[in-house]
Amino acid sequence: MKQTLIGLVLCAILVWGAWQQRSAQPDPSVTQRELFALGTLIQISIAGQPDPSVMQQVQAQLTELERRWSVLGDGELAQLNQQLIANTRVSLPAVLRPGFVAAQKLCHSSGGRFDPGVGQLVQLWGFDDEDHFRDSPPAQAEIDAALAQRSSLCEAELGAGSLQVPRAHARFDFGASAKGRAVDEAIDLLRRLGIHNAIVNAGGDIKVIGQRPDRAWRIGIRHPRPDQGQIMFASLEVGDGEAIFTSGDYERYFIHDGQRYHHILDPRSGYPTRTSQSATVIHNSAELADAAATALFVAGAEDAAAVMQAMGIETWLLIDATGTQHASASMRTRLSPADAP
Amino acid sequence: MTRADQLLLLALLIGIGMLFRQHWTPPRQATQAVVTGPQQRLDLDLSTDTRVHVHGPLGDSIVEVEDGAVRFVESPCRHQICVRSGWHHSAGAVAACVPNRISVVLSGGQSEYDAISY
Repeated sequence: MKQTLIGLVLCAILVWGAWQQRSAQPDPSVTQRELFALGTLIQISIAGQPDPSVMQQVQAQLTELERRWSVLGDGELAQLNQQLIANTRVSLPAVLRPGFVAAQKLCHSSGGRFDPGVGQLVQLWGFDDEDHFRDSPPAQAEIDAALAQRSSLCEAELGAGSLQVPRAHARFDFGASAKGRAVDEAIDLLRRLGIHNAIVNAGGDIKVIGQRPDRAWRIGIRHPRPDQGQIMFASLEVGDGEAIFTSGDYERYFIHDGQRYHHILDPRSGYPTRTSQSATVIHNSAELADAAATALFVAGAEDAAAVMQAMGIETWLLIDATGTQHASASMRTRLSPADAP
Repeated sequence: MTRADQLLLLALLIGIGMLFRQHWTPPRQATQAVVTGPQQRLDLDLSTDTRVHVHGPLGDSIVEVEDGAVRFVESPCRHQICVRSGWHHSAGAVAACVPNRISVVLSGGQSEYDAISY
């Protein structure tokens, strides 16, 4: 009797183990699709097996938004920038106006730390285009000239169908908010198409709907200085409608004389910000989270709390230039340590 | 229960423990990398070391598999973001050379994260 009981226990362990093995397989109920748009790789993950037309519609929308907001090509923003070379008052296309209005508000609330009016500086540093890549910083005289010539979006006048800037040669670059706006619109489209559980991941900038079949969506936050021992800095769960955006100095950069020059420019100095390694923001608006992550990165630890409060952000994380973590109380309660790889 | 029975039971328990550790612990490491270019799709087994050339609009990117991990070795893009991103081994990880329109997506294990913010 005793041996039979032991045998039964062993059988139970075997069955349980087999069940565990089955549950360890990748979840086939999440459909993934990758596409290139907005200057990055976009991953769309949808719980279930959506109609193929869903992915096609999202792709078409993102492609159109990329055309519209790109500083290159023949889209509305590229044409507007072209007109601003010789004019201080131009007509503002209706499709651009909501993005301009939202960005101007964020420019003000961030104290100019987020400012699409950095277009000339981004171009000067060569971060706007693969073909403009450079491996040494611009001369100080070039940076001074770009600073003197630039028009901040904070000081622009937005009419019903017009844009007035104080100086000619203004150039607007929405690289720090257009991706967020596009992610918001992609999520809105998915909801309209009846999708209730999905992630849109635009090159590490993420917004979710619903959750996985078994749990909330779990997001890892990349360590800004990863090594063999730690690739992720932390992880957290995100809820329905939340966006999580991270800005870091480790993606687009070049090294010159041992100094890292990255793509997040301080609009006030014209140079890459030196105070931060990465900044992460959570908010229901991806457009706001996008802009706020840039503003937080530029603000640095000293001004972080004040700038985030002014922008209406409760949940934020900053890793400063020394690698020290600064986080809001709301963020601290949500972060979990990242497991070793 | 004889001494032989006890030894047999002990061996069985140890064997089950070893099997569980080896086969039934959810793997975090990916087992496969899907490399996609404009005109190519390659499914790479991460248990087999290899190097592949993938053609994109700028030229060939070289993707390498070694010791269960994958990386971009070379790419004709100027910023080299894909090459700098280094080795990837976790299920769900993604690497891409955007200018050359080539992506690498790791799968086959149990991903710890649904997405990575960076």
